[in-house]
Amino acid sequence: MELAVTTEQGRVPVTVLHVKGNLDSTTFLTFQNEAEKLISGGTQDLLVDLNEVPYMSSAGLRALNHIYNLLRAKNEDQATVTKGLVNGTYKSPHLKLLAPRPRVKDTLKMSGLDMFLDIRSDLKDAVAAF
Amino acid sequence: MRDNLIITRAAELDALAVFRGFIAQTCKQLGIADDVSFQLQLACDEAATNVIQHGYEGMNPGSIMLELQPGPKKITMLLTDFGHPFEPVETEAPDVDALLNDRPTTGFGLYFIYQTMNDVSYFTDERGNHLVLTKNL
Repeated sequence: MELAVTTEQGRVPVTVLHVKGNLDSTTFLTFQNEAEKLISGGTQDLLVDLNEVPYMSSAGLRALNHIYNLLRAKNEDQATVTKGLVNGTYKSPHLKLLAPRPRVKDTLKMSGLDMFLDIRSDLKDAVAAF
Repeated sequence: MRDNLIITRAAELDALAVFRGFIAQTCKQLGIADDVSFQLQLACDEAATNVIQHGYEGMNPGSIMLELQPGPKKITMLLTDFGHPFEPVETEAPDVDALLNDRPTTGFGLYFIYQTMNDVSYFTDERGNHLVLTKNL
């Protein structure tokens, strides 16, 4: 698996973490560590580009969930999240996913992460959504 | 007569990609749909990960064997290891509220196995621990 980081400027600066390769038990920690490094370095809004991820297992999902919680801990309060969940309108404002392939999207849906992680197919659209 | 569809690897994480590749290649040769192939790979991956990460705890690392048994209406995957027995139980979907609050959940692995396979069974005998995963075609 290869990782690359770029930045995009929308309403806020968005860090884009491009993942290339499978996200499974062998690779998820490298991915998670890179995201942690970005967050501890100041990243508040993270877009994970999954376009070149052919396969993701539960290990990749756990990493995404962990990253979600790191970003949320820094920026969100419980009341806002709970209200949005009850209304069915909540999506993480700080972690979004870009262009997962159909099989990876299936896995995201099966896990329920798609209920609170915004999935966008277009980079500009994704950046504008932050 | 079919080739012997068995592959054995050391119970290390590197085996996961090998097993997925073996399933993908076999399904392609047998004309099995990509969706089914993907679900078999995912279920195998989750089950094998459990064995690799927990099955040989406190023991010398052992091996893990994957056997594919294709039939006219179903394909069976048999995963055999020689570590600690671990009988899987069907789990609910991980609770979203727990995921959102970083609380422990039942985990995705077993849930994925039961979601993707039509039948899951497990037995242990003198030849090891056997997880039998069946997918209808």
